Amino acid sequence: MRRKQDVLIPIELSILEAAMRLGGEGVEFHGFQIAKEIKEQREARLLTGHGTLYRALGRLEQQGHLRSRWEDPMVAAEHSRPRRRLYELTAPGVAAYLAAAATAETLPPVWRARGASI
Amino acid sequence: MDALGYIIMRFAMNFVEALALPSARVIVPAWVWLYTLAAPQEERESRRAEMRSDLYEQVDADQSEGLSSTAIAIRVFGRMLCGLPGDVAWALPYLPATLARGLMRGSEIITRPEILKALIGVLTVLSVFNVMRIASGDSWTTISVSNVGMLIGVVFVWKRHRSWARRTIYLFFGLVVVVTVGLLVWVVIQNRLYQLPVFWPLTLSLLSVLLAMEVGDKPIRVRVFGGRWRPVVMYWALIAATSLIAASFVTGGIVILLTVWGLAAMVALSHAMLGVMMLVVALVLYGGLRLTAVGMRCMAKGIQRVS
Repeated sequence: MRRKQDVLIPIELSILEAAMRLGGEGVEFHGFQIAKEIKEQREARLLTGHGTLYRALGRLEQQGHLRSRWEDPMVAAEHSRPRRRLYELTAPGVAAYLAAAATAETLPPVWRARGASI
Repeated sequence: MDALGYIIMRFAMNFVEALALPSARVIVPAWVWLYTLAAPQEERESRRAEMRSDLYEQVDADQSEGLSSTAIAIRVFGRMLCGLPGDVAWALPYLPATLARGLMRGSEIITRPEILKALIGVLTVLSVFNVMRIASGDSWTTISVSNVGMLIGVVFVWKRHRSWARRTIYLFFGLVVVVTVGLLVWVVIQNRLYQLPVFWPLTLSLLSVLLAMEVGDKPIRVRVFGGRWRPVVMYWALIAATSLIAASFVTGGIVILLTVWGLAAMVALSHAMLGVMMLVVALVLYGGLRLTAVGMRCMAKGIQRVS
């Protein structure tokens, strides 16, 4: 059964919430950073699986909730590590998260903390 | 005994510790490489690069936490395993198109004339050769040398439009004819009928090349005595001439003459039988390959329609 295009599933909500925690709209983060943030958020023992995380990130980008760009190769070379794909929360992403969070019975802590300013 | 057990345990632990992280560094990218194969190039490269980065970041973060190599590897494998359904779901939409493309391409490849010729040549010769081997009990050395010769011959025929290949084919053809005829004369003169199997591998090599030459849309013709002759005709002419020459050499009386003629007839018959066998096998293989190609095309179209 296909799910509705505009409905966020739990992993997508967790990603958006983690992105909000990392700074919200306009702050860049990479996939592993989000996985770590979700782990802390859920107080889980394991990080989100590769396939689950990157598939959800791809979907969010397709829906316009996130946008991504590849890091400058020079920066990666300076730090002697592979290039990162940097994601950024968009305004529709923030709105989608707020809408989804508002429909929940209790708002997640991050929203309660930031709700007034967003 | 306890000390030995301790040493073995320590050794095993060190072994696991040393191999765990390198294994994770190989297995995770290998899995990513595999499930991204069907995706378009841009998405494939992007996902692979992203996973390389993620793996690096995780190992780096875990190492800075002071975790052991084994613990880091377990975490990495854990993430990979938890994400397997997501990986498969990500790859699935790309599979039908890639499969259909692969099937169409495969059907085109196996029906290419040169591929057909090469396959038919190799398979025919090998199958007939095995029958001959069982019948005559040839030595493995002879069999191996002949097999290599046949394979090289088929490759050269496949590339026969190149001048180097054409020259090599003529050289090979000439050499095999000379050796075959020489051996035939020797067998007839010495009256060593039981040694006929000695030149069967050579005959088969020659027949395989001849067959490959004949299967093509433009059979090769060799320029001899001002005319352009098909090698297969030359081959039969040579067999006939050699039999006659051998017969005249040994003619000491009418009985011997009859014997030699009988022998020559038998040689010709055995060659004809070989030729027919190879032709039958070749036709069956050709039909099989054509049918396979049709089946592959149908499957590709079906997949395209469904997806």
